Amino acid sequence: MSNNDFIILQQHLTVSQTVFKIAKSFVSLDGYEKVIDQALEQLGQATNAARSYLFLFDRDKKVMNNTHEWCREGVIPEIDNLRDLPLDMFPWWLKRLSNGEVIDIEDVDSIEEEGHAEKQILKQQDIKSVLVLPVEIDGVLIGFVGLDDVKTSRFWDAQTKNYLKVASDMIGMAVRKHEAEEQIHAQKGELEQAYENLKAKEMQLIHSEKLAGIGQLAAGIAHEINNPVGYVSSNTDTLRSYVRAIKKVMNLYRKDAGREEICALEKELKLGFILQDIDMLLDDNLEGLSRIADIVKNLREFARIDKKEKYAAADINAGLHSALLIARNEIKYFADVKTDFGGLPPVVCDIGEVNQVFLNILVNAAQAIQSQARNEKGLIEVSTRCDDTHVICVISDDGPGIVEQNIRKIFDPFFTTKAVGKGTGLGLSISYDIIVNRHGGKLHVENRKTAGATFRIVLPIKNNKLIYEQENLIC
Amino acid sequence: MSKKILFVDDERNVLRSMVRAFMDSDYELECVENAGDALQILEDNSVDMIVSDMRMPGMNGYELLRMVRERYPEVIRIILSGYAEKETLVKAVMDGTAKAYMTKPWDNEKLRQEVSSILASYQSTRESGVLKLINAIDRLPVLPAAYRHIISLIEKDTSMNQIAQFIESEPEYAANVLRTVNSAFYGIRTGSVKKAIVYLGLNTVKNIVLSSEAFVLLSEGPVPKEEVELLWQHSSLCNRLLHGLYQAFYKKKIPEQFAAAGLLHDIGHLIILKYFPREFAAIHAYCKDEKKHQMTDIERQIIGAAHTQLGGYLLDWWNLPSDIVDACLHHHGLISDTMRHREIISLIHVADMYSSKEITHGAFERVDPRALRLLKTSKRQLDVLVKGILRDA
Repeated sequence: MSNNDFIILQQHLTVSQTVFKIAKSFVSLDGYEKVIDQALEQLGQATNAARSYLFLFDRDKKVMNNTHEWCREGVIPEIDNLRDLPLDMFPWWLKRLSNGEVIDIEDVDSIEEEGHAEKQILKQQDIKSVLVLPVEIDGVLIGFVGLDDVKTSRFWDAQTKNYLKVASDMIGMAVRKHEAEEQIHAQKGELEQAYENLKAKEMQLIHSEKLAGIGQLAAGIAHEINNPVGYVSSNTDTLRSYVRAIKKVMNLYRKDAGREEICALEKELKLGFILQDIDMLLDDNLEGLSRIADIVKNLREFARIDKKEKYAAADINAGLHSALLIARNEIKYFADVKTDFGGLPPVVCDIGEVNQVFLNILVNAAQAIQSQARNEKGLIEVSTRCDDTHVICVISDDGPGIVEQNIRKIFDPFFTTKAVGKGTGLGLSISYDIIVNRHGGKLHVENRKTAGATFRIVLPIKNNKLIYEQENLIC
Repeated sequence: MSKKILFVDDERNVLRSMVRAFMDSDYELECVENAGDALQILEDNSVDMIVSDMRMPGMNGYELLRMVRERYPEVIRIILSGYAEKETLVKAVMDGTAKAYMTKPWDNEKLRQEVSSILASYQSTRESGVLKLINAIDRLPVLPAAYRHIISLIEKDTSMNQIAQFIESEPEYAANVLRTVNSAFYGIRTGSVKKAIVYLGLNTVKNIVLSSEAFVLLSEGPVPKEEVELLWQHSSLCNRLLHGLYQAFYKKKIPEQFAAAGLLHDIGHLIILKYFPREFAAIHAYCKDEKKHQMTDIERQIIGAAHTQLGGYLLDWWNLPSDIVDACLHHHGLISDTMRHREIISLIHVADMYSSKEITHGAFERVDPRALRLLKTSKRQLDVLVKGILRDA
């Protein structure tokens, strides 16, 4: 046996052992990235290469990427320069690889004219010799493994090449397994997303059912309340004119009221005070009645169940006004409200839904202030403005604001920072859905420089999308 | 003779407070607790106005008022309801079942004003001068057919889509609807009647069809077409100004029942033009010479009634809501402090004056200072506003 034969035999042994190791690592539980990196390193070491690397084609076989690379110490990595390369950069290689051939270039300088493109590129990278192994899945070429030597020309015997081809076949299988896993993973993600969406939709449905129920109830109650409120306020008004008449007559009587017992009785019954207070009392009653009437009216308008057509031109300021009235009880103990309504054009929208958003943000603001358990009342500021194309409504509070890391999650379904049972985590995601998806608007939140959070609701004034949808709805 | 008002409500408390609210007025009041009793009263007495609740056991208010409309069309029908569904009330007025609606709880003073104002308007359209002219007319045009068809569709709760389809099948009316929506300052451009209904509301679109059809009906026969054309131009411009001014003053959409008021307000001119063409010419010649006089005064002198009254009569006879009748009746000013919708009628008056000036190049009259006061504005401010609107148009 010659010395040269011995070296070759030695190489066979090393390479076959490497292939064996690679095979073992591929059935281990290690992750894809790790086993590929390991395999490339082992191949590089075993073949004494300067660099070993894997190229994979994209799905439609237009471009390829150097996805993994191993470099011997002192050799400059090339991986970052080899992204999204057009496949036709290596026409000669590709033709041969497609036939399942192993490309063995002993010396780059000796590449013939047909490999002109490859030669230029390899020379640019100072590569002296290279071995290229096809990577296939089910006989279809999906990439290649390359072993470079930057200094010396190399000779590869047939047996070594066979061993190395087995290694590249195994890499092909690993890629395939990885792709299958990725696909399963993606499908699982899609399924999970679909499930989440369904869950959110279901909650929204329950929520809107509840709201419609409240609206219906409000409408029924409104009728019951409006009748008695109607005659009580009318009568109170009439009573005022009765009292005026009685007072007039009484004042005349009192001028001649010389009798002692009348004076005593007047004093005992505090008639002086009564006559003085009676007008204020009636005014208070009328004011209270008109507030009851206002609440009933707003509750009804808020729920908007009497509207047949979903989308119509609506007054956003009036909507905010009714939302503020409905939320009054949630707000008034914790915060004062400052409003600054600008003149707004009518906006085509589903005002019932938009009102829900207003209510939601207002109640959130009040709860945020309440959560601070502070001594003085907070302040909620509500303002509206418009430009040529949009109506903008800004609701700010001086509460704790939103923790920076939560600000991006705040519109996600089921995200809540409230205690269990305090909130579903759906309010803002429904709000987002209403404003952004159903009305083509914008819902934006940010922390204020001083304290608290600001919500900005932007609605397009002319909403062709809605009109289009409505047309389809009614067709 | 004092007017007789019939109140119908199933709650006795409500009826008693009505009696108290009208204690000091001259009306003669009748109060009943159900529809059957109401019909009995109408059978035996002459009643001027019926004010009915909506929800009552047995026959409800809507059914009662429809029956009254059939049997006693001269009785003014008003709804007073605590019923929550506003749309039902709007529909009742829109389809002509009631002339107006009011809601519970009510304000006594306002209720009295509404009642007296509706009665006064009615009275004004039934003045002897008006009736004399109306009787002289061979056949007053009945409620236009296309409009009647839309009403019947509304009554049957037909979908908006089908109503839009019907209007689209009448190209001339559809064109007028689209012209209005495209110039109504909503910043939209559309070729779809459906979109127009979304933006303007069904009530408005319905009234636009009515005005278009009324113009066609009243210009049939030997009527000078150029005068009709001028009137139509004036009506369109007036409506456009009305929308623009309302938006400028109140920063919101004009209430639906008035959104076509500009188109209908001068329908009385058309009546005079069609049935009394010689007098029409005389009135207009006189107006040109005697700029100091109110046009309505001149009309009363020459034919015994004003075009506002004749228009009001026709719209009332066609069963239109009292709001639009009032807009027609009072658009020449003399707006009183207790009149219903006085701000918006002032705006119609202003729009009418500026439009006349624009179309005929030279105003017949000046803007009523009371209208300026009510709108808290000045002639100069209006000049600027109108100029802006005309420029944008």
